[in-house]
Amino acid sequence: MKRELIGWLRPSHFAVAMLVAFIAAIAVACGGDRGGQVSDQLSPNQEFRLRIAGDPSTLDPQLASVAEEISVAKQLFRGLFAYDQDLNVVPAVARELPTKKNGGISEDGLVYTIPLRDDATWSDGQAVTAHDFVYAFQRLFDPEAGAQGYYFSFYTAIEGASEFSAGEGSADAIGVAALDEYTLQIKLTHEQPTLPTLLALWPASPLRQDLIEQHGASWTEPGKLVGNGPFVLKEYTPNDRIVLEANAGYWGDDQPTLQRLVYRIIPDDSAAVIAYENGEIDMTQIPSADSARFQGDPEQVRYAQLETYAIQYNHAAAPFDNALVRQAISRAIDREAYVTAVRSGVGLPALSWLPPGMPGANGLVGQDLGFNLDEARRLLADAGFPDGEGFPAVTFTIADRPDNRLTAEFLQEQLGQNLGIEIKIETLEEGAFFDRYQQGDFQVTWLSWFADYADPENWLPEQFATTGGFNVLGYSNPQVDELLAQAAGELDQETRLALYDQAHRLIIEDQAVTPIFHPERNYLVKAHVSDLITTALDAEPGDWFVASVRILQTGDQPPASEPEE
Amino acid sequence: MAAYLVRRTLWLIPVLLAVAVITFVLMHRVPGGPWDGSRQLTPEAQENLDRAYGLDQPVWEQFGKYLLNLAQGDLGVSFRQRGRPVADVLADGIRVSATLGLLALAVSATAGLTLGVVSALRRNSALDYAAVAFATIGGSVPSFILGMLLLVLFSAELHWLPSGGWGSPQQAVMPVLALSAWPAAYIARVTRASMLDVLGQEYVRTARAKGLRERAVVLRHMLRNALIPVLTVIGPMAAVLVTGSFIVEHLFAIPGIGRTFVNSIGERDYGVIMGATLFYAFVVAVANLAVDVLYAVLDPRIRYEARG
Repeated sequence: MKRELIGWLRPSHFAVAMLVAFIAAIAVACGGDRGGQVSDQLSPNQEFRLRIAGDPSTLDPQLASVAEEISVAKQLFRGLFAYDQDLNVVPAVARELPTKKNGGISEDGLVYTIPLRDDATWSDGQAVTAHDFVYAFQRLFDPEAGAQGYYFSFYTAIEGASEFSAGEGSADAIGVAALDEYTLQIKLTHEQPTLPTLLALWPASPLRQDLIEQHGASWTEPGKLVGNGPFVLKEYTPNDRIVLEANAGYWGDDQPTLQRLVYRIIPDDSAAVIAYENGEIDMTQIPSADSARFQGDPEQVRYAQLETYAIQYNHAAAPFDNALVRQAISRAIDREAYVTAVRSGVGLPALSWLPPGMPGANGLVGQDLGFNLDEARRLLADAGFPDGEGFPAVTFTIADRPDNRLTAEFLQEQLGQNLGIEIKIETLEEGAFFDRYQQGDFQVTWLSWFADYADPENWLPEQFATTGGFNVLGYSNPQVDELLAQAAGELDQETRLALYDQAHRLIIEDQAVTPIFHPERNYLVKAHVSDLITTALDAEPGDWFVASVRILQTGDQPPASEPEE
Repeated sequence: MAAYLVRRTLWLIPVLLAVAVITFVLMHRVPGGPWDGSRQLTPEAQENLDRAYGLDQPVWEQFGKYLLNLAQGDLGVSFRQRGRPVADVLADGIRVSATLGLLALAVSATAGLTLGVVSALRRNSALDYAAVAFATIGGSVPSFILGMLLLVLFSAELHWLPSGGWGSPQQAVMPVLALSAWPAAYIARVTRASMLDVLGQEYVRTARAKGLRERAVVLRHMLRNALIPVLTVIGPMAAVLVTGSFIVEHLFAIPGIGRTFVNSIGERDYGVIMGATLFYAFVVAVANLAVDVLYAVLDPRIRYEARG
């Protein structure tokens, strides 16, 4: 998308570009209005206006897989569990967390018996029962329902799920059952200690069988969509706006103060900043180009997220089948310089794959493989390429995005200068890129991984186990496989995380991938937006706890004329 | 004339069919598919989806089914917005883009014709130079830059206009301006040149000689003839304007068809790509037909009769 816009900036338009820059400079010099003083009183107009960059393709919680879809779907539904501010699992529709002690988890760890609240209701007033969860899981695994998205594979530990999905089982054979109206039983084929965490994610929301069967694909339209979350869908104009309103009959403990949530769909980042400055929206992302301008601004909100960008190698062929080569590359890259030069200083240099803040992440992992030119050259010589001599021509394949191009050029320069390695950059349109990537048709590439949930289980086994579903790199280390397999069924949290830590150490020692940086969220949030609670797992800032947000009175608005309640 | 219209209309069918074949083949040849993304589906889920959407069948069979449905007026379903009818996906966007495009066309035709006529009649005056300057600048500033300039000025600085969205007249001002600048400049240039050409014609001298008022000479004799080359330009321009500009719709967050179309290509939303491309082809063909018919209305020398 961005590429086409840049195509317009031909050299002949240089003068015009200068003119724009000039006017923009004047605009900055004049200084934007910063709104009036914010009081500590609530505004009578409890409306939170957000920006999302793209139109959600779906509001179906089982299909939602990109930020704008997830962010909206989360407000409309509540599952068995939810998160607290520190991302611990807490009960939502469930009455309590199942443990072995309270009988919620069987001794062998395979059967979960979960009592439900009897006061949870749908937005049309009906009670939320165990049957709604049973239906939701049957639909999720139904090979014919066309409802399978990326997240479906998170729940395949459930008995009968894989069989049904492969067209061999049946809906009734799935290990999710309603023992009575308010007791749900889930049976697993193998132990999965993270099950409660997974059940706190949006794809595990309950669904209304009667309405989905009645409306078919249009069940997510306003007027038809019935959810059980703190907000209900009021209005949806594709590519323009989505309006949610507080669910008057909401049963949860997290009662929203907000009356309305307005999501404006604004695709252009710079235009979104202008909309923010013009007071049309309350929150927006700061584009990289603007980060210097807003650095230290009182309305800036910047925080780490669970994401890691890394150089990814194809381990199947020379030269990247050689761990010494990969280690040499890790030691040859100045990550501090990268964050400054390419990311305008927003982000944290990374030496480990698991980001800080992830349970089981260990700050010491990768510390001995940081930037060190002497070591880098020694490692490359050990690999058989002294001063880069005899190193084959390699192609760095990237998806066509402006920040990827800058990254590729930075790495090309670093490896050329520091190791004498020559790298050719190959840029592919995004769809074509993922097609090639998934076939393993590349030498070396650049991708990030962001957390779906805060557990190493989401970051290591699928990516680095020899048989992992997303292991397109062809990385294989029997020791790692062994540790990951042990961790998968380990119910003791401490032991489990220690096993993941050991596996993570080996993966980084091998430089299966070379981590470069952890992105940070960098947003502008209006001063009148109070109690925005961010977590490292947000799809959009604060979207796990939108219900807690309150809008304060500003000097611009006349005070409410109504007497105080 | 009627026979001509019928013949030209019938020609639409093979033209659209050719467009459909080429688009369908190209679209399936391009690497990647509708289920691809940064988050990978399991092979199993992918097979289930392929089956549910008929992607597991050979391409020619898929195309055959598509044509059969198309013949019954069914454009199929969107692959990204799982199961939403393509007609629905396109309908809202078409209405918005067409409104925006027609407004821009009206503005650029009015501005372009006025500037062109005035500067031709007052050749080498200050007014003429100003018009030529406008035509040069307007013709060379891309809509993206102009749009950004307008945004910075009217939204970020003066707070006069909303930065984007669609629905109120205020929201239409900047996108219409950004969209009309280039067509207005182009129309102005063509009109001026064409008017200058007509200026020296003998029938203009005759008209003046028989004592017609200048107003009548300009409007009835000069402009009518000078319009023919202008129309040739406006026809395709109209087609381009009403089918939506991705750049302007992206910048001003307008829910138009231009954005839907470009996004559908990136997402490999096969259903929407086909629907939008066929719609574009249809609009361009109809616009060309309309121009040909208008020629005959404007110029009595042009007649579309069966020969022989």
